Amino acid sequence: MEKSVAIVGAGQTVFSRGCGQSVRELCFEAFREAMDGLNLKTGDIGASVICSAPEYDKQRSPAGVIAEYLNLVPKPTFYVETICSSSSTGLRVAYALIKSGLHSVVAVVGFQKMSEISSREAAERMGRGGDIMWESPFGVTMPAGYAMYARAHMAAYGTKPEQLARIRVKNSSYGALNARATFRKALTEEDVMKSAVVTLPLKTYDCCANADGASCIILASKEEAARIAKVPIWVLGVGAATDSTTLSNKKLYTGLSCAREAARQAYEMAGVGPEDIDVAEVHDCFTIAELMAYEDLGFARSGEGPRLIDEKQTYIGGKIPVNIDGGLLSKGHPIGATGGSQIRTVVKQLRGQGETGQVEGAKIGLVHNIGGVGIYGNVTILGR
Amino acid sequence: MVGIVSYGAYIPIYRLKREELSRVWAESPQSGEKAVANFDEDSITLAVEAGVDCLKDTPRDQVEALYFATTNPPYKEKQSASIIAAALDLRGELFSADFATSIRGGTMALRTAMDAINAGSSKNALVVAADCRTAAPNSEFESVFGDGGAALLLGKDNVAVKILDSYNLTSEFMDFWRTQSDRFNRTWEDRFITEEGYQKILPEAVKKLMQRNKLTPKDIHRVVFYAPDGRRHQAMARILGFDPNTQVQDPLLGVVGNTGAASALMALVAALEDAKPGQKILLANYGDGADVFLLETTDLVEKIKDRRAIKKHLAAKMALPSYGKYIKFRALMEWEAERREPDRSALTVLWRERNQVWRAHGNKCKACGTIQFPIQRICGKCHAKDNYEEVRLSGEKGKLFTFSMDERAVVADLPNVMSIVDFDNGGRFYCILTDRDPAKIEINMPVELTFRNLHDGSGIHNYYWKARPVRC
Repeated sequence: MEKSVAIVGAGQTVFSRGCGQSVRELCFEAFREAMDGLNLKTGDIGASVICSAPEYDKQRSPAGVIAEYLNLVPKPTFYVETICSSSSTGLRVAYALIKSGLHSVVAVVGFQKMSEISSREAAERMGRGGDIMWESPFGVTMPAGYAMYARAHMAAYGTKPEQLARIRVKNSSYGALNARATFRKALTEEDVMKSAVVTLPLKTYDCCANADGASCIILASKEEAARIAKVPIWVLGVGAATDSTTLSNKKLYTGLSCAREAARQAYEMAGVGPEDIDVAEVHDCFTIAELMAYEDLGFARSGEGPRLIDEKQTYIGGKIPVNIDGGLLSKGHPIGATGGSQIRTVVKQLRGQGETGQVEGAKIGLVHNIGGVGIYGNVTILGR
Repeated sequence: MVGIVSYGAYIPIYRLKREELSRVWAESPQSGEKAVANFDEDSITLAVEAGVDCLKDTPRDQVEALYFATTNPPYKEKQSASIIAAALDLRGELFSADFATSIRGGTMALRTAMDAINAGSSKNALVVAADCRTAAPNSEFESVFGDGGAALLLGKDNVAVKILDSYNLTSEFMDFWRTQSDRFNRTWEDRFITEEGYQKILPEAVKKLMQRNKLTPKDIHRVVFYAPDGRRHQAMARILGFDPNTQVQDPLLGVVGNTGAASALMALVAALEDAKPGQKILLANYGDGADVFLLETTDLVEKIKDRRAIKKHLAAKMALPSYGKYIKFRALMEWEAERREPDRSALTVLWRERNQVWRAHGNKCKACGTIQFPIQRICGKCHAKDNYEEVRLSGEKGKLFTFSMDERAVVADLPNVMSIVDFDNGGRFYCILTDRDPAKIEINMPVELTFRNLHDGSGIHNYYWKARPVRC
């Protein structure tokens, strides 16, 4: 288990719909929390990696304006994008920059401001994350993409809509406690089952919502980390993989191939297995996505994910607590900020500073962050 | 002798009961129903369906000419036949023409095809007629007009129906028309157009052909003739002297409606479905004059009866539940969701990817046989590079692998059913499922591809393939 790159700071804004802040102001707020309590001056940050999905606001090449606003000029900055997993990819890039010796401290800033355009436009831009020649022109949307997975999982394993609903119930119970979440109402299974159909078998409460927000993760080399932070959290494993964007070329529809491969890499690099994970944040853009994550990450065997939620094993106190900050389903999904927010939650848990409950003695945590309909898979394993 | 080698037809799956029109407009009850094209269908897509049916046993690269007749081409300027030819995956070395302004267009195309083969300029020719005329709401045409198409393959070998003679008349008589700016049909006083036009011109042409061949009505096994509506059809049978009960072909006006340029050929296909060898059939079409043909079936007429043609398409239907759906399907209203930023369609993409978009070509790896769509230069299974052949997927049958039903999509008919199809012979295809009953969609149901208008953007009709539950 190699401890060579650490997370020294993690911050995020409140995630909300239609908030009155600009992109740069959002980024600053997340950056300020990440810097809070660190023995680190802005000028000591060697580089910044700015992450978001393009086209949701008018700013092209946002890295420059954000670096300027955070007072990171003249240090290098650049833009990284893998749609919904942009900031996990940013973390991977920062890891490599530090590991290579090019920089010793790197800031990863993820943001998204989705309230600048209508929900319909946002759905269309999101759809364009799929193949724009053979898919998105037909009106394919993210919910419809995941609904096809849900349908296939149901056909293969007899998974029931009620079991998907239970995932939302769990996440909403934690979301109710999360002061930075967009949705803070605890929902019942009946609430979820009775919500309006979006794209069968997914209903409104099976889906996360667009939001505005930013996140920031500051990483440092082994040498710098001990000086900068009281409790550095080590990046033990980084896994990343890609599956065909084209829906017709994807082979697996009961799980995400890219997540399985990313998990394999991350476990191998960290030298741990699923049974060693104390707490996990997974990409629950839809309830089915969390269910598949249980299986893709090895918390349950294929087809046995539903049992995990039926038995409440993914609540705090269960076998493997998952999304105990409310997940994307409660927090909202400001695409580029999501990965950083997931990482922040796990960092807080490993420091023993859980905000929505604490997994006692958590030593190893996992973050699963997916871009597009199973295109980009990112799994990051963190440890004390 | 030149004749009909094969036939095919197409009737859209949706039917609107005329009693629904009576209800909406609070008018006296009407009987029967009419075929209504789905929101993603137009005269080009109807023609492709009829063409596919007709070319069931014919290798596509052997067709030498294509003639298309309609009164409603999707483009005012831009040939429709070329798009139909591409969707049928016909060869580039092809003569093609549109007959696009007369309800008699179907038989004009038939006569032209016959002449081309007789003259030796092509060995065969595919004649396709399809129409999709939208009537003004609450007009007399609204209950009469229906949508559909028919196709005939003409040639000299393997003739199933010999064309013994044809007689043609041209007349400048005006009865039904549209100007450049008219969306809906215009007409003149009923008595004038019927008594001075239809009831004089058509009988004259029939009489000439019968006299020339020394025939009386009793020599004809079945007569197929065009009529604007059911009442005029009955009257014409009496004028021509044929027995309505034994000799006159049902022109499908009650169950499909008047399909304009396709009407006479659809009725002919219906007649051929019931024909026995050695029967004489008289085909008479009307509009801007008249075309009359004397036909005689051969033994081969029995060999081509496995087409979907009229009977199977008539039987495989779904009810259009309301007039509201009808006006949405036929774009007779603006609808809220439609008001959005126009789609920017790129002709460069359409041209570059034409084999995939219109011809539904995927690729088959020569090393391991894996079929992929869209075409990938590197095989997804064995990773062989640039070692493939293009294969046509449009005729493949498949099973629905998984799907979702999007209730929020911007389409005229919700839910938008996204589907992933696994072809029985290999290959996976992502597309929309059309002509479907949402309550009856299930994983593993058999599906087939159909050529449809995917959407209109930047003034372009973007055609592409969708899946549908196997129709019949």
